[in-house]
Amino acid sequence: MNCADVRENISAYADDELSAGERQLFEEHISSCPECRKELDDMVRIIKLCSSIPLHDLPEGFRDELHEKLTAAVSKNHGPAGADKPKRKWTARTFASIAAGILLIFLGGSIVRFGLLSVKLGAKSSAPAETASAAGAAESPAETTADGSAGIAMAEAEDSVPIQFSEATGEMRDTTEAEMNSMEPGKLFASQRSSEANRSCEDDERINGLGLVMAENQTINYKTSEMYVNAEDPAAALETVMTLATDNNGTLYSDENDLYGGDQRYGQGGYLDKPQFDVSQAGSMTQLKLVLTFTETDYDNFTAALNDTFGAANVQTGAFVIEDRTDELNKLAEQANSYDQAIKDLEEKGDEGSAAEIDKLKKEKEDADRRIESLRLNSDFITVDVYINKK
Amino acid sequence: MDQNERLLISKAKAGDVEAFEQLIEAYQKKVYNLALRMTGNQDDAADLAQEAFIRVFRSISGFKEQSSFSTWVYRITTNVCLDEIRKRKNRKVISIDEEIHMDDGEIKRQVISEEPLPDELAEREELRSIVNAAINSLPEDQRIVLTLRDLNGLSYDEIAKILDCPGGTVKSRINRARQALRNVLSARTELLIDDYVK
Repeated sequence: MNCADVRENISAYADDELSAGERQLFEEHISSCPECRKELDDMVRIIKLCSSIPLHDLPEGFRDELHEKLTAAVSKNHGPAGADKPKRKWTARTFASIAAGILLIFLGGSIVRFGLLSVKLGAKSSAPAETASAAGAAESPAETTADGSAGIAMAEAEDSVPIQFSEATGEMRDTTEAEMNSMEPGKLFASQRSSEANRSCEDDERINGLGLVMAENQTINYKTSEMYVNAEDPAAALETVMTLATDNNGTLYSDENDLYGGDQRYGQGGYLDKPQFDVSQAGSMTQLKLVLTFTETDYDNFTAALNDTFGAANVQTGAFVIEDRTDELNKLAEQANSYDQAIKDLEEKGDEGSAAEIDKLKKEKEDADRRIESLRLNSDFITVDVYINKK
Repeated sequence: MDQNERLLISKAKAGDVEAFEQLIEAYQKKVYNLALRMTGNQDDAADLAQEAFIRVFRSISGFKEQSSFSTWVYRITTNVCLDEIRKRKNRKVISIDEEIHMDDGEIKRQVISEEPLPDELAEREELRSIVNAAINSLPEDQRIVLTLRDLNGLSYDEIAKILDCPGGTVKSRINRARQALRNVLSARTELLIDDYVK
């Protein structure tokens, strides 16, 4: 090490953050260079000075105030244990669980990839109304089951979105809600795409529904990846995939909507629940889809496990794609700021009539915050779309 | 992550406020002090610290237990603080006593050097206030690493995770921050004499 290297590493040395090798080189230099030694002495004093400053005590009433806010967060249904708002989310979530995050596409092996291609186009070029109606066409899974052609027709139209189960039937809701409720912490839940689609319908900017959502997942900062598994029995393969995912710390994909929810989809060494669909129909399904998230290491292990289990010939994996969602984050941050500003302005005006408006803005601000947090939260993980195709 | 923490996390995920409060008990003071360092103002710091905990609470159901809870809490806190700082910058009017930073982070001109220096520097309180002022004059990226290190006693590796940046960046920022502090404080060379450090 020369003097410049030593100066670079001086803090790290004082903080005991150098590797053994670096440490030795550092000490060798210091022992023969009085100037650097002086520098080190100064640094040690600075560190002592800085750490001699005691922590400030919490201001009076801090805990009480926080307690109130936390309690309010719960009772306003914005906290983890919310009732009303999450309930609405549950509906979508429930529905997602019916299909276990599966998009059921009948017949055509040729359309296996359509969703991925058309979705990008759909999200960019289609008008909200179009997509909304396209989504509406596939209102219930039962309908889709009976008439797969709806899915195909949409698949072939360039501007369309894939089948979107935006609303579950009441009956299904009941069943799966019961199922969901009976799940224990630690089990994993189904993909949340339709949940986000549901939410997006309330949101002018995201009215495109699933199409936009999928496109977001592919075009904005997350690490994403696709995998294809071919199997004789997709339903059984799905279970196997879920077991492998669990073994490798995978979790079912979740988006910011989960931040409303009170469920515990993030299992730690739990197991994935059985797919929530009618197994008798499984024979007629040609493609099942599952959306999972992994850390990078776990992703590699999961990929390896898939290959081992199904045989390399039946598994197609690609490198994951890293895409930058920073712009989205900044946009959200700006939005949050503008809400803040608007709230502040309204509060300063002090009109009585503006209370409702302020509440609304506050909700929107919270929403933006949640999305920001979710973006940050998910950005460390790889989101994998696993498609299971019938051989 | 110990068993107790895990249990509290799962209760908090189910909306248990008391469990959540137990969970964050150990972090409240540190988070508040971090916010205080970042804002330099007690009221703002209290607001931001609470905001951070509310955000933690709201998003705890999405907390992936693959990372440590403390890292996550600090990460949210730093994000909340940086958002606030960014927000202020958007609104700011140029203040006459605003410090000027050179590209290398060195302070060219800053407030404390223009103020009369206390005669009795040996007074610990005064010493602290000078160090505090010096720290507050650092650019926020340096201030944040320094605070996480010195106030919260975190390792470089933990800091890197919190700030989502490479370990080398943490190392160089901490080093630059301390060099800058030394430059500020060496104006008062007696500060660097051992006797004054108790």
